[in-house]
Amino acid sequence: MKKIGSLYDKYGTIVVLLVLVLIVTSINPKFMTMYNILNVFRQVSINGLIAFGMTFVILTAGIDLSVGAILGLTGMILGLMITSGTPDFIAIVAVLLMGALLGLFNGVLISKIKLQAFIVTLATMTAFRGITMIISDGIPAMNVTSNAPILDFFSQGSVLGIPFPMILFIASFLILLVLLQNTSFGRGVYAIGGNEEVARLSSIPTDRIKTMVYVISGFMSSLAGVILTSRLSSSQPTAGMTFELDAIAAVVIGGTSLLGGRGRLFGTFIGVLIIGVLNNGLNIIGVSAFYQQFIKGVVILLAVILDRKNSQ
Amino acid sequence: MKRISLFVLALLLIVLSACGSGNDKGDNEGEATNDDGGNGGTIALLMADLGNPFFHVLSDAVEEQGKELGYEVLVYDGQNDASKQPSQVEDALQQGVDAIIINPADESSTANALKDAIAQDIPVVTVDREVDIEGILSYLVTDNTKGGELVGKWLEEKMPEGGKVIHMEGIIGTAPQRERGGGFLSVIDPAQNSDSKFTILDTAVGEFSMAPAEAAMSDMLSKHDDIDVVFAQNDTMAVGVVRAIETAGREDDGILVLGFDGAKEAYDLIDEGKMAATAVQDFEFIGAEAVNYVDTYLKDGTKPEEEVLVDVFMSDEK
Repeated sequence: MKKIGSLYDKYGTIVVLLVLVLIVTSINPKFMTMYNILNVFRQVSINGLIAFGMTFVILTAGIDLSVGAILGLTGMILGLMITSGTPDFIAIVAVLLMGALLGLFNGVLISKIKLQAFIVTLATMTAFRGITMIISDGIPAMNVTSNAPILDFFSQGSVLGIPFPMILFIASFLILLVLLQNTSFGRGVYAIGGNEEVARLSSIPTDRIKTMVYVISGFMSSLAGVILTSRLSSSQPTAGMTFELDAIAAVVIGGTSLLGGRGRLFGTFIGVLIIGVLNNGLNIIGVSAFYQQFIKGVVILLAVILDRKNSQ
Repeated sequence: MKRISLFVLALLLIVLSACGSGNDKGDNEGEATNDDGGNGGTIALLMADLGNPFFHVLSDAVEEQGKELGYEVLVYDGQNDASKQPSQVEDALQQGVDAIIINPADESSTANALKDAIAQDIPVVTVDREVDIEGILSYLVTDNTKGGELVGKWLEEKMPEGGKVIHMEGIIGTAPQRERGGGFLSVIDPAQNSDSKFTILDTAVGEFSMAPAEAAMSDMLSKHDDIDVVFAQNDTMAVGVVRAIETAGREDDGILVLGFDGAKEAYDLIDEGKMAATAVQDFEFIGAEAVNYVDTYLKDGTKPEEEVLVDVFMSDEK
């Protein structure tokens, strides 16, 4: 019995995902076409990258509300740089660095000045969005990819028939998985989330690790911003609003505890797919907009309740 | 640390206030603002969301006509947050403005604040959306229902043999979503108009913004391979729809994309042959007309019509 319980604990979210896929497919088999599966992966990649970074933050018992604003700001700068003639490769590298720097700013405030992550990232979320509005004057940059083949590749490109955003999604997952499971940094992340004081006393560099998780989160958000800008061929000053909520939802559905110390990146991977399959599947079945929101809310609740039951 | 942050805060406030007064000077051009009505008065313009580039057409029109008639125009941006606007109205009253032109974020949030203005006999004109109170000088709005019908009729003329339609809706429950969609469906939906040769293949929600519209459209492209027409209830969504078609490599399906607003992006896409047409809201007219109403009222107390519906027109100019 205990064994079944622990199996369920490990694979519970996968069961939710499979049941969802089965229901949607049985109502409209078009869901299972290769075309649509690639479509789903292309769509989830943005939330996925943000949610991976968010997983690291939440594992340390932190939270990063500024991810959507970082996506918006770096995406806007990317669009403005390219439309004013900067080569796209340079612009992309610049905004990725910038995403990491914005994360570093969050991380230093939280780890060195000991401010609460919720408050710091709530403030920077507002400030970063404000900067986005100031530099763009509230006006989107249009036709960003028309002379930017590298940026265009980020959403339109594919390798051996696999869309590039999907490759980025899976590659980041694998790299971050190794970082979290097989390095002392990863063990430190779990240790801090478990008990920060104990971690500090065991001579784990807690401040540095806590700063680093926000750097990762900022970097992943700006990478998601590059994909979104490429997808829309446009930088919207409002891009990324409420994205933090989808990312947090994916992390929590995936079984990571908001209290930190417990959870897995693979869970987030499945959580992201559950949200993606819900969004896409409800459209494919043709559920009306009113019911869509309700169903999404119920599924998130169910997934979390299942997970809570298993962990008790 | 505390002392440093206090110092930085003080510095920031000083710099900001300097910026603010600098701007004022620019707008006034040294003219005294403190008279009651007529030339040289002040109009507060409260916009619901200047994040939507299309609304800059409206605010620019108000500013231009204001300058023309000798008013200083103070612009407030509600940043698409209905809870911000009431305090902006109060701020404007504090500043002693002579008139208020407001593009409300919704029908009720600013009602109480605007009642104070009306009680002080300050004329209030609402543009693009109504506020549910007595005593508003005038309410100028695009006739969205008629606009939706116009899109439908244009489509009937363009495709007399009919076709299969995807209806991309805005934020569910908002007036433009209900009215534009209602007008369009009253012509195109066979359930409402038995003469229609069209069928509504599917309805998707794009929330009046680009990213959700792009995602919803890519789902629609997965689901259907026989789409003839997409009607997006605003141009921002139409741009997302066009992008989804490109991403899916389905440009050769010959899908006709229709938008609503008359935004610059739409004209660009029409130029490139990627969009068929857009229903143009005459924001330049609405903005200028709002200033005219305020001006005549302040000068001789003449009241305009309480509700003015402004027609849209279709544009497929290349």
